[in-house]
Amino acid sequence: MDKVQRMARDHGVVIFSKSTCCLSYAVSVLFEDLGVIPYVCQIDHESDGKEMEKALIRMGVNSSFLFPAVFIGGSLVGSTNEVMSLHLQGLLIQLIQPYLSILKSN
Amino acid sequence: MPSFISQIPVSKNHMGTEGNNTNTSRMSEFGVLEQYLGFRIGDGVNVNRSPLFNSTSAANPAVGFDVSGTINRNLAPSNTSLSTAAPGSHVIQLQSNLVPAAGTHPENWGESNMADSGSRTDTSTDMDGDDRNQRIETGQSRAIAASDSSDKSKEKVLDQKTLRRLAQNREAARKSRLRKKAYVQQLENSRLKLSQLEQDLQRARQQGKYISNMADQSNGAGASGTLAFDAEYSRWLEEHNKHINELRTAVNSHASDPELRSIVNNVTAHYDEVFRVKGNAAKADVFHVLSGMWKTPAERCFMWIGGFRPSELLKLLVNQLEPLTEQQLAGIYNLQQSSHQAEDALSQGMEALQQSLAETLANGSPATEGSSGDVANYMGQMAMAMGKLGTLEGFLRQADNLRQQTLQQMHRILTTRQSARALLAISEYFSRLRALSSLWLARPREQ
Repeated sequence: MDKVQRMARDHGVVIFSKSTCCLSYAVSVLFEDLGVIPYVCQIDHESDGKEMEKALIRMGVNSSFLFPAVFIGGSLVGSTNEVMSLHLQGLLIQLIQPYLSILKSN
Repeated sequence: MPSFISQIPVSKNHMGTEGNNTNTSRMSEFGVLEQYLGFRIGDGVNVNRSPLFNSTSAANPAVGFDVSGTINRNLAPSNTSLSTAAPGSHVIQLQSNLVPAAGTHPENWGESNMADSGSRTDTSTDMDGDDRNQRIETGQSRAIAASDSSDKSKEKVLDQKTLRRLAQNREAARKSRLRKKAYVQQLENSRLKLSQLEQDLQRARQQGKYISNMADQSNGAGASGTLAFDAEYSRWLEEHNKHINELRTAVNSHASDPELRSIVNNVTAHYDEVFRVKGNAAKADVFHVLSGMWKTPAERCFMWIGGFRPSELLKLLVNQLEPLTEQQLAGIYNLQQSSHQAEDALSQGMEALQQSLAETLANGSPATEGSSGDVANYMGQMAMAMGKLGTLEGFLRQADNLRQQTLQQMHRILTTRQSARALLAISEYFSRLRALSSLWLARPREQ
């Protein structure tokens, strides 16, 4: 739990994923397109991956569609569904505004 | 384990306290043992060196001879142990797990032991047949000790039985090898049939033909799911046309906003229904939904991950919905851009999935021999590929979510009357695509 929260706080946009999940890749592509380089944590490569997975569920991630689990500014946003919905509503760009890369703003 | 103790009296002439004459004179009483053990007692152990034969305390020591396990030609001297038996017991003891208990008939025990080894041979194909038979010949057959050494006829019966059993063992091994070869061949044929079926299916799909009901029934739950979806989609399309006709009538008759809003909400809810139906169908057969076999050829031509591209639809609508306020135009433009970005992200994800899947399938070496190792490797690859294919359903769900969300956002930006006109325009567009398909299929073909 602590590790997940620490990661979410330390990086602006965090995607918890599995190395085989191509939907996570799609979400990270979307963020990059919007000018943010997300921090991608592939929990199947972490030694305590199982505990991290349980922690994500306890934090409110839907266990049916666990990955990708997206955090922005330390807060849980949700999975692909929520990210896409926020983007279509024009709200995602507002959430990631503080974390836009310098390259994009130039 | 039963043991048979052959009691052979030891001649005092041959075994004095010094025992020096054992090298020069063979013990005739050991004739039977020599024949079955395949080596002479004198050859096996240098009795001159043994302190046993230099012992002066025992006048008539007996030799205790213990052979444990299977006896074969390679029996080394170290495997035999000479020891002083209990005083007064002038016997040589031969113990082996292959020798029957006293009182049993040699014919019977010989046969049962061989039958046992025969049954084991039948299942094992690892050992070469000739090698195995040689072991049996040199081992088990030589370990058989007859209770009466002078009875030559019994020995002949034993030899015949042994030979017959060995022949049976060879035959069983040969059959086992043939069975293995046939099984490997069968696996190979099944794989060829599978690839052939896949090619046939693809060809049929390309020609726009539906697989017959018989084939669908044989494919089980997945096939029945696709049939149910096709039927359900046809029903949905009929109902959709009714809703659209109702909406068209309301727009043309300048119905009030609340009345129009009610009909627009019905149409929107009906779109939600088709996304739900598609989601269920994807669980049964994601390929069927992605392939677009439930749509007409012209619709399939414009398909993107199992449906329409929301951004393209918005482009078409902008021209149809004028006049729009600047705020509405900006909203539609932003929505179009957002949906396009989301489409791109999903498209790249799909590409990554396809590449990953292709690598998984291409990684394994081609199974030339059809050995069990190759089969296991093939199955492992397939399991990994199946896991990756599971993500396809996720992509279809996300694409449908994007379509659904785009329609909902469009309604938020537009007024009720504009939304009604937008829904009519969308319906008209797909209706024309279907009409185009019908015309194309009905066109006169040049011979």
